Order: sequence, then C-alpha cells, then structure tokens
Amino acid sequence: MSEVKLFFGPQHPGMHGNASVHLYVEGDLVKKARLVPGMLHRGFEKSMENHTWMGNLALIPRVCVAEPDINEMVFAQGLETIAEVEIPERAHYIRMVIMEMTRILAHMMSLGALASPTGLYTANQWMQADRNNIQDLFEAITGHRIYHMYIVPGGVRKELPQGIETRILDFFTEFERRMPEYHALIFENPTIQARLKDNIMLPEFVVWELGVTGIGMRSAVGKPYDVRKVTPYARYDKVDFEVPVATYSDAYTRSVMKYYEIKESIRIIRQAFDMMPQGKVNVKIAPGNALKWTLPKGQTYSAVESARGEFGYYIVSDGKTQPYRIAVRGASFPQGFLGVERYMPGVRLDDAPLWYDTMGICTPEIDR
Amino acid sequence: MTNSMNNVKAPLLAQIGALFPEVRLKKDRDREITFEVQPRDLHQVLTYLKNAGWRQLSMISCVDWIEDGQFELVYNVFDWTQGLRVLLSMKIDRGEAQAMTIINLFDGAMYYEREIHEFFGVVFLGNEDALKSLFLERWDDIPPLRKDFDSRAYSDKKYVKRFYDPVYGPQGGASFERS
Amino acid sequence: MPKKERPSRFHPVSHTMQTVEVPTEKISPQEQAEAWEKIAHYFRANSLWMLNYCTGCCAIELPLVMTSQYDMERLGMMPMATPRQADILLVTGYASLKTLRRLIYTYEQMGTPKYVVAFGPCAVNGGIYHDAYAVLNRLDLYLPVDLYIAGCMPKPEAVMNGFKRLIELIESGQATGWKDYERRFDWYKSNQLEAVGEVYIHDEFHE
Repeated sequence: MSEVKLFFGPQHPGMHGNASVHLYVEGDLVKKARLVPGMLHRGFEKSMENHTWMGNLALIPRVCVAEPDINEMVFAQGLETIAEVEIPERAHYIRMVIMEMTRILAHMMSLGALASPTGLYTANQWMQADRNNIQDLFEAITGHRIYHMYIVPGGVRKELPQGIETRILDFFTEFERRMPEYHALIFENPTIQARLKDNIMLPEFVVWELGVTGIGMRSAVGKPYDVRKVTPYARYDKVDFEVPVATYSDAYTRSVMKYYEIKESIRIIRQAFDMMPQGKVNVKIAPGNALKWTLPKGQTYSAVESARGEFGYYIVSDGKTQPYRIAVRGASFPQGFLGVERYMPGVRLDDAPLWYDTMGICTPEIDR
Repeated sequence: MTNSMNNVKAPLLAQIGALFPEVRLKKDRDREITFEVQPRDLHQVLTYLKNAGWRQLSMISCVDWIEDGQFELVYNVFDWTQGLRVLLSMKIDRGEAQAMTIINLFDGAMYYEREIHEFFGVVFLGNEDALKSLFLERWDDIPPLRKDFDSRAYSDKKYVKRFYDPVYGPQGGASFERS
Repeated sequence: MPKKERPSRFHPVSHTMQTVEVPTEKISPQEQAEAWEKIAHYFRANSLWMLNYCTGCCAIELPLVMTSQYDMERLGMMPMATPRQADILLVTGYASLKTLRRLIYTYEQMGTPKYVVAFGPCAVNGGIYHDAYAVLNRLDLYLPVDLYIAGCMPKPEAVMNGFKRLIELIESGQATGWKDYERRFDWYKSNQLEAVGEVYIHDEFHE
C-alpha cells in the first residue's frame, strides 16, 4: 500500500484552531506526523515589548483564546514578584474564583470538542449552552465575555458587582445537579467508551521525555503534580481541594479527569466565596500614572496551572516603562510539537483529532 | 513554607557551590533560584540537576542584551516533588551566536531551540532541525525578536495600512486608496 | 390563564418570496437573465453553507452560534467541512501571512457564489496587531469582503445579526464580492503576491 500525504487542518472540522498537522498515512495508519504551526503567530513577544506595562493588559489575554485569564494571572503575578508588592487578601480570592471559572470553561470546551471526532454532537450542544451561561456570569463581573482584562497587576480591576456571589453559586449548584447527566451522556456512552478506552496511550516515560504537564502528566504519573499544589499561588494553599490523578493514561482517563477537575473547581469557588474577606481589591504596584509605571530591574518566571498544564511567562524588566522581554511558555508546547512528531505516528487516521484533543493542545498559545 | 524551602535550597546551593565553582548565584526568590553558568558548565549543571530531581525542562528562553552585545539563554527546569524552580542563565556572544544543544539531556528542548533560532538567530550546534523555519514562512528580514528589529517599521513597509480621514460621519470614513 | 409567550431574543427571520412579474410578450435575453438572477438570489439566501474554518480568536464564539443557544440553522445556515461545497468563508479575526496563503487556497477552491465575512477590527485595519510583523492589516486588498462584523470579539448576537444582514445582502443581490474578485482578479492577485510572495504552500518539514 502506498503512502499518502494528508493535511489535517488548518481547514478541518476536527482541528481546534488554525493549525495544521501534516500526516503521512498508509491505509488508515499514521506513519509520520508533523505539526505546522504559525498560522496564528502574531508576534506577541515582540508586541509586548512595544507596549507599556499597563498597556500590555489588553494584549495578553489574546495569547490563549479558550482560557484567557491565565495570561492575566501570570502577568500580574510576575509583575508583583518583580515589584515586590503584596496585594490585598480579597483580591487573591476573587482571582481564584475567576481562575476556576475559566478552567471550567476550558475543560468544557475540550469535552465539547470530543463531539466532532466521535460523532456525539449532543455533548457539544450541552457544553456550549453551559459555557454561554458562565460567559454571561463573566460579563456581569468584568464586562466582557471572552477577554476579561480583569486580573490586573496589583489585584483585580474592580470590586465584584452586587449580588454576583449568589448568581454564581446558584448557577454552579444547578450545574452540579446536572453533572451526573453529563457523565451519563459522555462517559457512559458506548461510542465514547469504544473510541477512547485503551486508545491513545500516554505512558509515564513519555511524560518526562516530552515535558508534558497538566492532566496529561497527572493521568500517567499518578501524583498530584499540579502547580496549584506544588507551588501554591494566590490562596490555593488555604482552600481544600483534591487533584484527580491516575496511573493509566488513555484518552478516556484524560477526558474523565477533566470532569472531576470541574467538580473540584466548583468546590474551590464555593470555599473562595466563604473565605473571602472584605476590603480593597487592588493596590498600585508602582507610584504615579498607570501608563507611566516603571518597574525595578529584575527577571522572574511566573507560572500557573492552566487547564492544560503549567503555563508561564518569563518576564524581564530593565527598569523602564515597557517590558524588556516576555517569553511565553504555552502549556501545550511539548505535546504539540515533539508529541505530535514522535507519538502521533501509530494511531489510526480517525483517531488523529482525538489525539490532538485529549492531549490538550491549544494552538494559539503554541503560536503566540 | 519558607522553612521547608530552605531545607531544599540549602543542599542544592551547597552541592552546586562545591561541584561547580564558576556557577554564581544570581537571584534567590522563594521558589525560584537563578544561577549564572558559563557555557562550558551548562551540560554538567543540567545533568546534575536532572539527576537530583529537576526532571522537567519547562522552557528555554532568550533575552537580547544588545547594549552588552550578548544573548542570554535561560534554561528553566522544575522539580515537581519539591516545587523548586531553577533558572540557569547563560550569556553567549551576540555576534557569533552559538550554543551547544541540550537535546541529549532533554528531548523536549528540540523545539525550544528551533524557536530561538528562528526568533533570535542563535545556532544550536548539534540540533540540525533547529536550522529550519518553524512559525514564519518565507521570512525576509533579521530574526524578529532581536532588539534591533523594529516591528512597526517592518509592518509599515510590508503591509498596506488603512488610512482614515480626520472627518467622521457620512462625508468622512475610510479611504480606500492604496498608499 | 393565558399562556405566556416566551420572549425570543431574535425576531424570526422571514423571507418573503419576491414576486417576479412574468410579462406576456416576449422578453429579451437580458431581461430573462435578470429574472433568473432574482430567483437565484432567493434560493441562495435560504440555503447557506458556512465553511468550517476558524482563522483567529473570534471563532471562539462561533460554536455558540452553531449550537442550540443561538442556532444559526434557523437562518438556513449550516457548517460545511469542505470548501468545495461551502458558500461562506469566515475570516474570524486577524489573518497572519501564513493564514492568508491558506485563505487564498481555500477561497479559490470554493465554488461561486461565495461570500466572505470578516470579523472584528483586525480584518479591517489590523486592530490590536496593527504593528505586529506577522499580521496583515487590510483584508479587503486580498479577498473581497462582503460584510464586516464589529466587535472584539463579536458577541453571538452580533454574529447572528451579521448573518441576517448577509442574507439580506444576498437576497437583494448586493453581496457581489465574488464577481468583483473575478472582475479584478489581476488586482487581487498582484496584492496577494506582493504580500505573500508566492501562494504555493511549501512543506518546510519534508523538503
């Protein structure tokens, strides 16, 4: 049988985002695969150098479209480390609420994305409907549906609106009541079980070889290697939550772990609201006009746990009003490049979209 | 938290100091230690760290210190059991930007090196793949993340801009003439 | 108790059949063609296939528009996987040079009539990426844009509104970007070549 070259993406219903995987297939077996990135390359790292510290705030959420708040968080966190500023206690808890809500959004997006490769379109319909509800909550808090620009250096942009706490908690109570239905729809579905179980394996040595983090790592290693647990930021060391782990990482495990992470995120949101003190929500990280802020010289790497793993910025300040350099570590960079190259060969052609989805690859953060 | 971190940091600092006399401590934050290493020490330090538990290469990044005529390569490794991050900062000459690859130690470095070659023009000896382009197609200028590359000037030169009349309202609006 | 009617977010889209007067005496071939064109517009506007291609961030709101919350199927629109059977190309946001090359490929594969909808300010003037080295500023130099939808990113309501407007434009025969592309093909081609150098897609990994 002869080898055929196929372009999986950028224009393909199973592809998330504007990326392309060049596949060499024989029959329906993938023989060779390479990610061709760069369709979403906007030159963020250069643009950030041309904006002021505060002006960058509008730019950074756009690095990852599905989960924008992690960018704001790493940026704010890094600046606070360089400026050595302590932010108000209340802001930490508000940040945690925002971060967990956006994590739920991202997980639901990727669970919904199981729809097109498996044919279970109901999953996508339900997930999108609930994502819309959460985005409405975001709109009430921040004024934006997708790019919130809410977590700013020094705290959060403004106080939570009146009555949002009950709105959020009511929604998540209702959502939690429906979660068994989601489980029944997706994870007990024979199609999903047939396609995902014992398929697309990720053994432990591959995790260390590639440098995979996040769900991919925890599902194979069996230890709670979560940035929230290992190097707690915000106030994650004060709240009580579990990190689901596993030692057998097939596509099913990695997907069902997203379901359990959503549950834990809801727990964190509840506790954060319980423990949230009153008070200010932001401080200035430098004196004077926000557009003329200068930061002391210094460099730091700030990381958070995104839905796909460790997401970080390496921030360098040379004491001027603009960043000297910001380097972005996309959480899916290792599996997106080396993972596709080494471990996508061997799967069947119809599993290639599933591979791409369940490994948690987000193209915009790879391309930047 | 800080006490337990000191228990981790103290042996690391002692060991690094004993094994590599030329490695200098640059910055010590709560969960992040930065060392300055010489290019000839890089592989040894990374090997030591990998054996000691820093199994994950988080990223390699590059900073262009144009006034000093240097590139700074920053190797970022993380230990998941102890939660301590080590950054190794290595200065190389900017004119003839060359460094040895570390794909023999960390496979994941392959694409980070390729990215740095594309954006800064640093050549990684031993990583042949890194010489190919990755994100950019048909790039026709100096590597874009170097400090002497002006993004706005390039954009003005390469892409046709849309100009707006200062008059707003039905008479004004976008001009559709090419500049 | 009278049943409360659920308020709908949108007015239902109503298409009224345009009446085409059939003259009794013989009509000229040109008039015949115009009459057929009107009929064609009516049918085109009622069955639209949107190409399943997301070029940028604005695509994040598209799944919402496609699924039950906003449900573009009630406008007679459905996503389509292959460009050869699709009518609408959505340029959802900024287009980098590398994307433009693929966009031209895709657009030229689509059969006429075809329509281009551009989302957000990035397609108009580069938006927030106006000074980035990899993102082009004006999309209309390279592809004929029939409709712009404003917003960064456009909310699903705005997208639905835009689609409705597109249907109106098609129905009234004003969405003629594809004819413009045929008429000024050389102009578009020269712009494209100036920007991307060569439209052919090389495979840098294997060559």
